[in-house]
Amino acid sequence: MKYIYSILSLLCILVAPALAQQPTGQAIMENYEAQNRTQDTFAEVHLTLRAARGGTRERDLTMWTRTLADDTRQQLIRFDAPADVRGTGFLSLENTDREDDNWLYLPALRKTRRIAGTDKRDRFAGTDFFYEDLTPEKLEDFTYALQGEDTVEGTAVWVVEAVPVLADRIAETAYGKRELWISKDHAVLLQAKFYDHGGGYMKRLEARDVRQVPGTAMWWAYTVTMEDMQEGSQTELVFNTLEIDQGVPEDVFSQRYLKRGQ
Amino acid sequence: MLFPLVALAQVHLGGFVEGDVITYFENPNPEVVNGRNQVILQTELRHEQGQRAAIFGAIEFRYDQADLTRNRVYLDEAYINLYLGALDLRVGKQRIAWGRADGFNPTDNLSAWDFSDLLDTEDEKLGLVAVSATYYVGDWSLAAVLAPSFVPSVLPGQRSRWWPTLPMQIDNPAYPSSGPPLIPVTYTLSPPQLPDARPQNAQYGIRLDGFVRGWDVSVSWFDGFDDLPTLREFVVPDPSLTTVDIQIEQTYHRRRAVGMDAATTVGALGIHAETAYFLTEDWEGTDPAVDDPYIHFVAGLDYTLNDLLADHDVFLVLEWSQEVQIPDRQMSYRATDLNHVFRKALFGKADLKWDTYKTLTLEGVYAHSDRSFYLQPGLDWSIADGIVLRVGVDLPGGPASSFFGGYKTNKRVQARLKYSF
Repeated sequence: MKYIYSILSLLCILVAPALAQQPTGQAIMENYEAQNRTQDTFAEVHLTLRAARGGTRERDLTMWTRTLADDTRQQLIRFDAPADVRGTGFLSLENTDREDDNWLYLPALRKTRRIAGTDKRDRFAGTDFFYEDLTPEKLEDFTYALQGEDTVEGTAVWVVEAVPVLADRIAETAYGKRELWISKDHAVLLQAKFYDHGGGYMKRLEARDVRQVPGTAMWWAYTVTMEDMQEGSQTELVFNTLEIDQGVPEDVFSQRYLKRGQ
Repeated sequence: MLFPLVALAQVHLGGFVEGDVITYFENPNPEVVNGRNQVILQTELRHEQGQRAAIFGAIEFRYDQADLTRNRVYLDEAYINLYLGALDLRVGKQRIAWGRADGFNPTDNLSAWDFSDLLDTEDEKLGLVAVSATYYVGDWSLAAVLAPSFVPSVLPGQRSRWWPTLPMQIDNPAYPSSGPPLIPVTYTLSPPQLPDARPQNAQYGIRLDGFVRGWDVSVSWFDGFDDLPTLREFVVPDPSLTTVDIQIEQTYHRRRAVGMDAATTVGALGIHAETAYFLTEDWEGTDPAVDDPYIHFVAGLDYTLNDLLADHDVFLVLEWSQEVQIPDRQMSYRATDLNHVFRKALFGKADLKWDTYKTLTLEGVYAHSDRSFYLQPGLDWSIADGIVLRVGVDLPGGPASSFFGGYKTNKRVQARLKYSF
């Protein structure tokens, strides 16, 4: 018995410093947010949608984003393919003091239409990504708890559980809980599991092809796959071009540029 | 020498192929065209010269086996865009679309329409040779359009099922002293008398457009011609009073319009309104055939009901359209006057997103002024990337003397398969 106590004591002495060095979930996410903060981005993206019953659809889009000094975000998305949606554009300007401004441009009608804000739980362009999956994480909306450590494809990761805390956020998110696998070396999200408010397993994200973005210190997953565990469908998102903080002109985020798709 | 080769390499070719079939439920008159069996090939050429210029051209090849008079090779659009700092310039044949309403746009008066099929006006806006310049300052733009020539709207031909139903006999004013009590009538449509091609007849429009604190707004001015003709009838009786020929003269009259529109959102609700005051040629109200001045306004709402049926979203649009004569001279209109069909009308639209690729649609109009209506249930199905099948049923109805009621035997089903490339 004395022998067992000695071993336990020794283990405590060895393990305690290691535990003390582990960051908190909040600290990991703060680092993640800091590492992934951008002023502006330009991306050419290819989407492959795989239905549960077979069959694939392809989408090509060009995206521009920028973050202003007051932390509001502006975004322009233009569809380049398939041909029946070519030129369709979506412009979103976030506001702090009122509702966001959103416009849709439909080239067949030659018209720009002001639209109400999108439901964050809606699928983006019919893919398995929800709009909330594509917007930056707002740390104040969640609590983060470190669940442990793991490896993804040989890369050491932290496993963090994210749960919405604010009533507004709980109401507008599809997820009651997320588990996030974040790489220790470059703070890249490599894997995630999404659960609904009842605890049901909804979706799974896998990110691969992690590379340093040219001209920046930032690392990025150039291929991201989202799988709907309930529907059986899957969407692969590949960044064919990615430019970060290269200075996207301000006038890109305008109705004038939105209509240039025609 | 190298430049043309480089330019050619940067040209994007696109367009679409479309098969379009229409079958009517009733064919009471074998003399008219009772269907459509049509193929369209539209080729589009696009070339961008950096950020400074772009060229676009579209040619349509149309073949209709059911109505060979519809066959055509048609230049849909052909223009060049020049981006000169804050100024965008577009020169050439182009479609111009103004206004923020869905069902009817009172401020949209520059480009005419092909109304040869009154229920099928999607993508039927006609190009207009014009110079349009848009100058941008912040969130505002000032657009000016100058069109040296006039393009009238295309109306249904006499062999079309959309040619208005006209009486085939009239009372004989000389009966019983001469001739039978009713006299058979024939109709002769005179060639349209278009405005002379001279500088004074050029059309132009100006529009200030922008947004401020969540509101999109515009004010506009149009000075040009009504793209729909004024119809005057001249009775030419046979000396024996056994037949009468009614000659219909088509003339186009000048009109001006001051307009404005606005749109905003409140939560998930979209709100829009559009109005124009038409300053017609008959300001004094002396010519009963020509429109007197009037205001036309449209106000509407749109809303998306999320997860209404299981996991399906429904997008709803509701619009009220009304005309007010100012000054009010109690002018009455023909039931078939396309400018005034919606003088008191309710438009509705519901799109039920069945899944990513299928949308069930229901569109309808109730024309309160003559108690007629039109309903169009349909399905849009994206079968594969770039391939869309559209199936719809057109159901006009109402009293026989009303606009849609006059076409109530034109209930039909339409199927359209479009491949865009």
